Amino acid sequence: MNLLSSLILLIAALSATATEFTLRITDEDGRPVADAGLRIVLGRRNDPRSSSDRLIENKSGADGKYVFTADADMCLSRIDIKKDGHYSCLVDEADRICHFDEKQSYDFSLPRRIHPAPLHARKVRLRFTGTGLPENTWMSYDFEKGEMLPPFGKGEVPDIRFRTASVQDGWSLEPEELAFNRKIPYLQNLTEEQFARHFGHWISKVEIAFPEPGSGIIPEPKIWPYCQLHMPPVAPENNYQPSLTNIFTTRNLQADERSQPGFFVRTRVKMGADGSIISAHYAKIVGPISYFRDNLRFTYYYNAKPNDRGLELALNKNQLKWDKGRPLDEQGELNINEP
Amino acid sequence: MFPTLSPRHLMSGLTCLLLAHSGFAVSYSAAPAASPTVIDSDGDGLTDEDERRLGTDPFNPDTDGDGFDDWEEIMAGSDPTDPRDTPKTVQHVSVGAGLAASSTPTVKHLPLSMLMGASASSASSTPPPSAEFSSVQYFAPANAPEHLAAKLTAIGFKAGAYVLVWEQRAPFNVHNEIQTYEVTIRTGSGRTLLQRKTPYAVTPFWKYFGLSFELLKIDEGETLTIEIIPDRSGPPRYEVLQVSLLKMGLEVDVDRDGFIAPGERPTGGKPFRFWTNDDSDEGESQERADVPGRPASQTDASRPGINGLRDLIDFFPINLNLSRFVQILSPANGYQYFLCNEDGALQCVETGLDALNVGDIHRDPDVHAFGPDGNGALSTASVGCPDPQGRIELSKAFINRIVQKNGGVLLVEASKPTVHPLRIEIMNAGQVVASFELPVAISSVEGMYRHLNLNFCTRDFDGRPVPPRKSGRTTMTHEPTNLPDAETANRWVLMIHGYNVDGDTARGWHAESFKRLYVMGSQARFVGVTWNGDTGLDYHKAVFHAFQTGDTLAKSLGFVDPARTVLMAHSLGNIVAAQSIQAGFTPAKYFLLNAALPTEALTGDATDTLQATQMTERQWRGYSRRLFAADWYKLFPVDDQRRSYTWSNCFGRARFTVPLVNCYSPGEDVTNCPAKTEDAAVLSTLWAGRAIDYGVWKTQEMLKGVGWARSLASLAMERGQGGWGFNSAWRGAYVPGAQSNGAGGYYEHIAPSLADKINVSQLMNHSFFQPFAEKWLHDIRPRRPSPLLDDRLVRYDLLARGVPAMTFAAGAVPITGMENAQLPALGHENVNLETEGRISGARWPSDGHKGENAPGRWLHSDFKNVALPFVNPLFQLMINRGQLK
Repeated sequence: MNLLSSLILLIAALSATATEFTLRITDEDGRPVADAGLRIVLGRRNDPRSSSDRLIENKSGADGKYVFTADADMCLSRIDIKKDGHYSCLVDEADRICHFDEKQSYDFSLPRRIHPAPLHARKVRLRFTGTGLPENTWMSYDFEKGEMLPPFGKGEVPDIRFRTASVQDGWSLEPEELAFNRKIPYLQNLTEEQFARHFGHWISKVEIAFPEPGSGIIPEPKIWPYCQLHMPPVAPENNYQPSLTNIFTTRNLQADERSQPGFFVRTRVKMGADGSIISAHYAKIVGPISYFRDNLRFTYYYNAKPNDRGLELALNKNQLKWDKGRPLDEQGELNINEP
Repeated sequence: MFPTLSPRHLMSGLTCLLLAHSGFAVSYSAAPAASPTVIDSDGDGLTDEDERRLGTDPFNPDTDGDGFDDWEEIMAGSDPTDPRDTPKTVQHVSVGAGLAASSTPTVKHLPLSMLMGASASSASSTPPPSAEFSSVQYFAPANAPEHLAAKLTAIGFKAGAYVLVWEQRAPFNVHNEIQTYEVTIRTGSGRTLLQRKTPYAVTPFWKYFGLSFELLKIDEGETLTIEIIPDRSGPPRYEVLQVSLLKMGLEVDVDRDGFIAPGERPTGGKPFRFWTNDDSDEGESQERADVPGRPASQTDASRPGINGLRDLIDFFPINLNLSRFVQILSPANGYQYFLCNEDGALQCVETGLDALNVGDIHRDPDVHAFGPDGNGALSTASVGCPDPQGRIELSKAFINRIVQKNGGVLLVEASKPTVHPLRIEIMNAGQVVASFELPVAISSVEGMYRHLNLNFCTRDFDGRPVPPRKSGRTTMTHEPTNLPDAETANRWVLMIHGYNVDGDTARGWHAESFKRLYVMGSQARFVGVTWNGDTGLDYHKAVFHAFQTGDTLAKSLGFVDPARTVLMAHSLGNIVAAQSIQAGFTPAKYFLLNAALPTEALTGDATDTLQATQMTERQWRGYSRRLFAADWYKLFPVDDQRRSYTWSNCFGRARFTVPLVNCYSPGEDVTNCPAKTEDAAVLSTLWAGRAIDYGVWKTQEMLKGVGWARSLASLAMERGQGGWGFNSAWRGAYVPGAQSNGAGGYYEHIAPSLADKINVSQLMNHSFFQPFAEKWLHDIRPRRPSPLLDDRLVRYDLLARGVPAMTFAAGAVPITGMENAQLPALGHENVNLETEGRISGARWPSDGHKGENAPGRWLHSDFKNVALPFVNPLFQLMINRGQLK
């Protein structure tokens, strides 16, 4: 390499375009959070050893913003945001934040820690090994018991009802691959329905309803994916809708799931003669109410105290406990790590 | 409920009533406490205090002057103050409910009601109605031909371990003869539960003695006959007092469920089994494999204290449920408590744990139960080491806490193997007053599980055997010496390690995995599998070996019951595991731990656009997928063998026959697929080959087919083929004197639009990617396989070295599309280790944790590296889901 080309390279390196990064921190109501501690790691493209990592530690300004620049071939690897009295925020490469765009802007919510309380929380996986979840059948779930109602479980109060259905929407494989799969020995025993369940595309529907007037659900558009607390800490007072239908397609399952960041639920409603609500219980469902291949899944937090709309779980105070008499597969997961 | 205990030397021979309630003996005194000083001014065998109570003259051996001394009259039941009442005949008197007196009229006894005198009212401390065990005090007279000192009966005791404790003396041993008692306990059906001499000679002064025995289930409800017989050489006056039959109170968490139930001890003559602390743990997280069997001077047991949270797994808790003992044999009265082992193999840590929370050492990262007050941090723990006699004296503070807390927990570690029991000895003035035992069997941890060494089954692409760099532990499929099959639940666990684990290091992986399952309650038979994945920088070679090993593994498991077997594999070990299933092995459950295999291998779906784009090497991103090595198989008809040369669905049998649990962590380092890694960069990947860097699994996929000019790391690979290399047959225009090669030039790659025009026949003959090493694969109708490789190995060679994955590794993402409950017995699931595998709300280790780039996140090997208390839920989940209890 001659001197001239070296010089050209050097100049090119020195004049490499920079990217402006803007981080904006707000609380649960969208108000700027000043003085939030920021710990930002940037890495260069194609650097598995992370030897180029650059650490920035600073605080957000009065407007809740922090702006900095970096070389264009650097992307964000990790951002930690903390402030006393607020839930912290963490985002890293696992969240696919690395981009090489010209201008990068990120919004983070750092909600305040208001009133963590004991709640009933469970990651529910409803499935019936061997038979699949019965479709076109209403099933009810008792949040406080953490159980389906009979005949599927021992729950007592129907807090929320589900009905699922699905239809095949073509095949997920090309004809040659389908033909190849039909010859595989371990697939020979599948019924045509089972074969279709595995290799077909499906459109599934989950209908959600409630047993009594006044109870209902609100899809929560606000979601804080990188925050410890994903949804607003207090359930809304009004605007609960009595039913909801969610659609999932295997062609686009992940996008369908992402479109359902969470829900608030009002249940066990007792109404006065004038139609006003005397008493109600509140719950949140974090993430989708997902139905895919006979598995209905959702994660709920339920406040057993009537009329208390607070839905911040005090960690380690999950009121649901393992039932030693039941297969654990049926119990979903109780080890809840997020408030 | 328990009356005040009588202090020693209340009244010689006045009191003894032993009651049992719910298996525990309760002894009480009918008399108020008195001075512990023993004074017998007239030498008649009754202390002055006794004589005052009885109304006799303490300075006159024969108060009523009838020729029988006071003591003899008391023994005979006559009134020592009435000269007309003299000893006449021997008789038996029942005392209390359920008394069963001796049927042999050879001993004198004392009617308790008379002896109680003025204090008799306090005997109304009502014995529990269920108590059916009572005793009366006997005194052997000079002419007693059978020397029977006491004969007691007991009914209603439940199975368990007991200690018989009593006080005894021989007050007139003027010649200092050595005298002992023989103690026998027999059941009504004649079984002898105990037959031993007292541990030391009887003295003229009251001393406690204790002997332990075990009551089996078959003995429950039987009448127990307890005989205390002085040896024939002894003097006539043996006296026993304060006989108590106490639950042994030396308990251990036999079922390893995290709490010690009352009376929980090994049964049926089985010992409690554990391992020597002969590895080297450190802190809360360590990457170094924790290989057992280190030289004695380098083991954790040889170091002071507990070596961090990781070291706790090498301790087992025992509970000293001895509050009754401590009340009777109080340190304040000079009694010392020792933990002993004949081999001097045991060391212990005094803790403030309760029997109900001993599991905290495995589930609470911030357990505070150490130090002098039993509430300090782990760093304050002090390990007691044995003296040359194998004894460790327990502190008085700890012993006193036993009374306050109704028990005391010691953590015990072993510095060397032993089959001699763990013993608690209670000593006074250098003599063993009582001792009781916990049978233990301690060996190297490798004596507790099987091992399968498949290190020698692999061949290279040219068919030559590939010996491992370190051969590792030999295969051992017979019953482990220190965990017989009969003591397990007839379930099996197979554990397969990942890449870059040599034969020695594998021992550490297996040992740690076994230990974690064992202390969490697994009752399964564990099998460690070692395979030749130690291939240095050549990761692709390890993948090739993994496939081959999977086939061999399926054939090597004749000693397990597949339907009762759980397969557990970490990282690249999942290729071994999944291939063994593909080859016909069908376990009951399969846990994938941070699996280094693409999700498409299980789902058959490689169509996710985001993943496919990010898994495409940078220089290939403009080209159609039909040109990729990954999709080459699609060129061929269904009946062509080459149709199977794809990662897609290559482990489909696993998905369709075995319930899978994919344990993944989004924040892990090795199998994560970072967006910023777009190709196998030149220098950095040289180091990435050691599997130590972020996103290295993806880098290795990017490295397939890439020559040294694009990545120096390719120099470490035995051969490159296919993948992201370009076939020079499809090169574009020559660019002379260009920047990358000033002396010459280079050929451009042809434009994507032009490449799209290459038809299928052309691609079969001349792939767009660098051709596979076995050239015959590119014939339209391949006529022969390689002269050295069979078709199976050709396929493995291609998947390992030439066919890149187009989906992310299952170790960092959930396997979507895997769930399907419609197949019988299947219930696949994804488990996010970062939310479901670790303790809720707990911190995450930083010291020793390779988390500079991802602090707080569950990294690739954290299931083993991070101390168990942090990752306890994962092991609990595996035990529960795998039904390993």
